[in-house]
Amino acid sequence: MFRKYVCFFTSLVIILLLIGMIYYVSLYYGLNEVPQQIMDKIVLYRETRLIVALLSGLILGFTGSVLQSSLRNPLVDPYILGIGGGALFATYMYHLVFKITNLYWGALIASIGGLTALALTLVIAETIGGSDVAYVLSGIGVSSMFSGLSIATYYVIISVNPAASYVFTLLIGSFVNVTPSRIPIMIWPSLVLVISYFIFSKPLNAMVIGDDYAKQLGYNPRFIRRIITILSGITASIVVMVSGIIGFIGLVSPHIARLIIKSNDNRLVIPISGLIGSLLLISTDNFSRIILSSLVGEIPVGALASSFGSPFFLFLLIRRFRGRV
Amino acid sequence: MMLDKIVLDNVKIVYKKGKIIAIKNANIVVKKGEILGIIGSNGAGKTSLLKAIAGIVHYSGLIYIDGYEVSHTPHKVIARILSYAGDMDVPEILSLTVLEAVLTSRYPVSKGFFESEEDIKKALEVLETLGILELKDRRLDELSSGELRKVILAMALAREPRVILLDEPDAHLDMGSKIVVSRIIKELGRRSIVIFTTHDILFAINTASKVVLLKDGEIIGYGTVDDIVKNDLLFKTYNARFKILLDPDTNKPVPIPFYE
Repeated sequence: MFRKYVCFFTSLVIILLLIGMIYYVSLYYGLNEVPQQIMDKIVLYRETRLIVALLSGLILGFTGSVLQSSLRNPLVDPYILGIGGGALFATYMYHLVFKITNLYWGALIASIGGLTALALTLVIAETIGGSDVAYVLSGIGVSSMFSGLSIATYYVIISVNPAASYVFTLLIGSFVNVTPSRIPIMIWPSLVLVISYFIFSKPLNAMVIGDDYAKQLGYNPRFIRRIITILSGITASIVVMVSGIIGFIGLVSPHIARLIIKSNDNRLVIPISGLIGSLLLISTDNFSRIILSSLVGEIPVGALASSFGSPFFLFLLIRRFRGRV
Repeated sequence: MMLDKIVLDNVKIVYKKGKIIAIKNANIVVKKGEILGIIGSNGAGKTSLLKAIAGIVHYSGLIYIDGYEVSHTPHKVIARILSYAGDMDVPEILSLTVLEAVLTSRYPVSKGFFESEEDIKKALEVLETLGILELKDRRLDELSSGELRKVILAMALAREPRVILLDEPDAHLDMGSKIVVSRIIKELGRRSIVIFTTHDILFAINTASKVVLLKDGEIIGYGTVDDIVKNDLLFKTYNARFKILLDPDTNKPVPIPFYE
């Protein structure tokens, strides 16, 4: 019993230390002979980029784990459920129609897009049987549709406004174009998620056992599931608006968390999953910025995340079905 | 005030907007110290009736537990008095361990975000009583169906409820375990009101103090074991003939089904 708490606190401390270390090193790496004025600018840029990566990872790891538990489905994350595609399409439409970029309106529109796609995925998944693979299939369909629409919209944006080419990075997920003005819009969703952790992690433990069981403990599983999917949809959409589509972080982080703390207790899995998300994103981003950029150029973090995330996803699928055949 | 008593007054349960009637008109009173067994064929409405008492399904009519009308009382309040143990479909990969699952049962009565010493002590006690302490670190999805049954029972008992509703507590159990579960239910019956459903009529009449016979949502028999172990009633319930013998030691009726 106590073992899982020991694992939890040890992992918590180790992950926080690692994050702190990467943060500090990547902030000042290679700045020895740079004039003070330029150095300040570089440090500001790096710090912004680190904070956005940290918060993006936190939100993705967090929403991934609560979505998996509330839908009782280990194969889902915001990206697979179509939130990524929907939010991106909405963000592009917003760029196309309004040009001016008010972040709060942007967040609202991205959330509407993300939630629409999410609702579509969930409804279709329920119609085709509601098994955990039904969610994946339905999500792939919805994501592909919105990704296609997003790419098409991207070309329209470029033809209308050639200066807006920076929106390209959203398509793959990257922190290259971050500005300090984007940090506040990511802090709010993170705070909401932290609060919801304290409210929902115990009901989630009951809901993983079953809806009837949760009901007789005094929870309302349908209501909680609705709130959790809406919160996840909104917060993950905001990540998409700021950093673009970063796949598989939300899927991988909770599984790594479960593996290292050797427990599926949501009170322990959710925070560790969020921090693992942060750790994965800042280390991948720094790997790309510091090491890969000198070799091939800065590969967008979304591309790297998909490259190591999707094999893991396939591994989960195989593990899920091997016992059944 | 109706203390320590469960009263069902004209309870009716319909599904799919009236298309399926699960329970037609149930009137039952269970007092403290009584153990009520509900038997009936498949689809007779046994589980629906239990779920209605637990407040999990909608019903019309009135159900009072300790003076609280179930559908007009917040779930949180009911959860502190009552526990319901039904069938469980355990997910792979995400499952909790046995001890974690039993501890979730104490959420309505424990205050903190994490479990207290007392919560853990009570959970371990229940596991010990049911003889499954060695399963405590196994995950639910790794258990056999019989082991899972016992864990479900442990989850119902861990918060020491005054009303315990058990949906087929003897399902998937071997003969020895059935007798253990029956003994535990009888022990619980001294402190709490216990209502259970079962397909095993011998389990029912050896465990319950009163028995309800359900047929297509209707109560066709309700009373003590002597009242309900009758050829015509059992035939109506199961559409099968029984031979009723008298146990020479206890003088209790023992129904034995005919295999034609």
